[in-house]
Amino acid sequence: MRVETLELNWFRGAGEKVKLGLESKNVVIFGDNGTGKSSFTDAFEYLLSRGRIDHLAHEYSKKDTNIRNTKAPLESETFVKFLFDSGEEATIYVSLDDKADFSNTSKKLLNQIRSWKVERHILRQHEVADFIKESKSKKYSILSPLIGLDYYENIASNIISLRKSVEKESKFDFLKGVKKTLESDFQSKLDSKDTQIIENKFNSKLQKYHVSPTGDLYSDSKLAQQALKDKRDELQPDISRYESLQKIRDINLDKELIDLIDKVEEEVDLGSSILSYQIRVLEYTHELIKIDKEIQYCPACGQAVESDKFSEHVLNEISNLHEYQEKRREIQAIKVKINSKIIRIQGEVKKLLEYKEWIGKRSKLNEILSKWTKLSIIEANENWKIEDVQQRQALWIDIHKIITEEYSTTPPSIDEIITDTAYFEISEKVPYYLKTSNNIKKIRTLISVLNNIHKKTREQISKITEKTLSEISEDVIKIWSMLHPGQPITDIRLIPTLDAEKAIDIALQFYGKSQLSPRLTLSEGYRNSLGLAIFISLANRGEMDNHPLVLDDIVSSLDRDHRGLVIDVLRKELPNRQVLLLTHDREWFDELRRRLTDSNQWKFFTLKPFVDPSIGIRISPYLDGFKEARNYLPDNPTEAGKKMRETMDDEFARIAEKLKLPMKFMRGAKNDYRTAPEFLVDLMSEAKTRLKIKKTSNYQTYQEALDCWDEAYEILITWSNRAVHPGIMTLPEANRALKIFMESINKLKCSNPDCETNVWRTVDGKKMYCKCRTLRWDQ
Amino acid sequence: MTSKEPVLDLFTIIKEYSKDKLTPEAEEYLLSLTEKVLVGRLTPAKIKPHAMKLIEKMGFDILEG
Repeated sequence: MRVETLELNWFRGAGEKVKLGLESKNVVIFGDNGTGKSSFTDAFEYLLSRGRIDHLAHEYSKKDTNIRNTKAPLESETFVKFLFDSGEEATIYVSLDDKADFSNTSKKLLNQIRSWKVERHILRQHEVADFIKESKSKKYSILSPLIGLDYYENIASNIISLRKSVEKESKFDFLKGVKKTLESDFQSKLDSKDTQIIENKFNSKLQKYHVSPTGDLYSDSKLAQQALKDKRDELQPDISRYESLQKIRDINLDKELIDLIDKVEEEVDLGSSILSYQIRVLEYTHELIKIDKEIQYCPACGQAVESDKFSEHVLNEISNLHEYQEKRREIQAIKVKINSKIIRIQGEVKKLLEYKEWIGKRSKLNEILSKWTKLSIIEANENWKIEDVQQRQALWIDIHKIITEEYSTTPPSIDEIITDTAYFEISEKVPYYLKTSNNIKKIRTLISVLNNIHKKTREQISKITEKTLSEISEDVIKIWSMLHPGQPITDIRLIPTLDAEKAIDIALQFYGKSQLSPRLTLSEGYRNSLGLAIFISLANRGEMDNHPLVLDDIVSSLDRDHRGLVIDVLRKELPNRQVLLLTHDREWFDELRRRLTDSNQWKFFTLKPFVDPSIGIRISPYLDGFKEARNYLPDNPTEAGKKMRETMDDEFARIAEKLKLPMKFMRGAKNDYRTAPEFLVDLMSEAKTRLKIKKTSNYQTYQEALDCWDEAYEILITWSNRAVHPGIMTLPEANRALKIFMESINKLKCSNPDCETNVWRTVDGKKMYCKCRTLRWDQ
Repeated sequence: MTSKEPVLDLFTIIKEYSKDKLTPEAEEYLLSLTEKVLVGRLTPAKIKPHAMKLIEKMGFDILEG
């Protein structure tokens, strides 16, 4: 599915009706920085991402108007329109508040386009190396949707959610707590938690109260309690008083108070609100790091941290604060338990103090109980002093001792009734306990099955990941070896990380030695190449023939040789994709223009310099450098001069290559950055003996060419020499330079109107000729 | 280019792990979720009714008190 035309109307950097005629061909667009190239990339992303552009995402939250051109007239429409070779049209209108409207596009087409993955269709410059720098888990999250793993991850995640929901809706933790409490009650009050033993003992007690067992523990218990009621009434009020004594005796506060004495001193005087605030700040900061990688001061501890370790530092800080918060919650839970027991004791104390006659005879007990009535409750979320805890401990020891002594005087008849009442009250819960246990068993089975299904699913995902990554790695190795033949980095593989789920690492051989995490080893250029190799491998997967592929400034950090190889890789690996290349690299653009000469397959455009948002992007079909320079005249001769000089550099580099001109070797990258004067010096030196022009029937030295090049050389050298030239070109200088420079290039082209071919047109033995053989170059 | 994508057979996995462990009704219900529900994007709100249904199909006794 190829794009015929792309039209932008007040979209991003575009003004009114900017139409790019792709004609379903591959397209190369050159534009200096700021000419609006990326607006075309944004348009593709806008279509594929349902009205989103990732690099503008954080600006949306500020409600900036970034999608519409800032100078778009209010009454104007903002839209992007794609016409495909199928004849179908996708138009997305953008509202004044930057909302995308797809209603003018057929659902069928939208569904088709929306199944395309943005990351397999668009690659921007910064994304090339970013992938290599990302953490292993981030690599996984980036790659998983691209290689179809998100489908499987979804299943695994749904199974876990289902398990969690089963736990929540069945109140699984609550049921386990109930069961544990009942078992503890059975053990302490019925001397066993074995329900069979309890039932047998229960039946024998029933006989004591003349109740015939029916097998229904709950009903039988109620009947027994009814029978006991008459006996209890006879023994009032003593029995109620003894019950109060028993209840206080059976409360145990020792454990909580001892625990709290140990922990209360650990509790730092810091309110939980500050903790929550700090966690919020850190969580927000962690999100922010993804956007601004320059932040280096931790907002929690104030420490300066290296950028690449900052993310880890912040996560550690969050973890520490969560741990501290958890500790505070534990301490608060103990305080809640203590308060709850104190309130229960105070309730029973209040009842006991109502037996005036009885308490009047017990001055010590009266004194202790009175102290309990005055004991205030300190809220659990307040900071308790150690003295508060010690005071409660002392009061507890006093009351428990005296109450235990007092209860030991209980007459056996009363004790028996109290014990039996408690027995029946607890026993009636046995059916509930059995039901609860049964429910827990069923839910536990269900949870275990879901856990096993999840485990097996993850195993399958690991296998699929391994297989898929192995396939991608084969492509990556192939592409890498095309981009870097005979270089020391080999056998590059994407591998699942063994020690963690959902993580992907990159392994490679560096000078024959195995290495992981190549961001530590690779130069920026290599990282870019590797990112590009991975992207192309991914773009190559699945059924995506003919889909457009947008590559925005992807060769910025590659040197000349590798830039040249990128196009070979694209042509070989993605022969059917419609490639849209955007670049600000004039040299690469010129190289592509010279190499990709099949006009049925390739189109070239340049973007004119950006003047003002109200004018917006200006497209021109590709002009050669001199024509482009002329466009700057007469208003901007200096800019015209700059374009001329760039063109001279490119053209003479090309000429030197065509003539196989022996050039002096220069160290490192300097070979790639020779300028026209350097080529001219060597060309003039060689041309004296090698370049001939046929006059009458003899070949002679081509003196006019030598003179012309000499003049061109003089202009270039004078102009470059800041000591004698201000670098600003005047209009007469520019006009003269343009004339001489164009002539200097044309000197190698035959002036015969029937020929007009370059001197390297025909190779015959060790000689090159133009088509009509007027010009000759002796190799 | 790559070979055919490997496939995760959720139905078979569920069948294998739930057999003789879940009640036949719960097993059948869980298997019925493989077709559409478990392969989609589920929010906790969307998954809750399925969890409750599963609990019910396991013969969970509703407790009083």
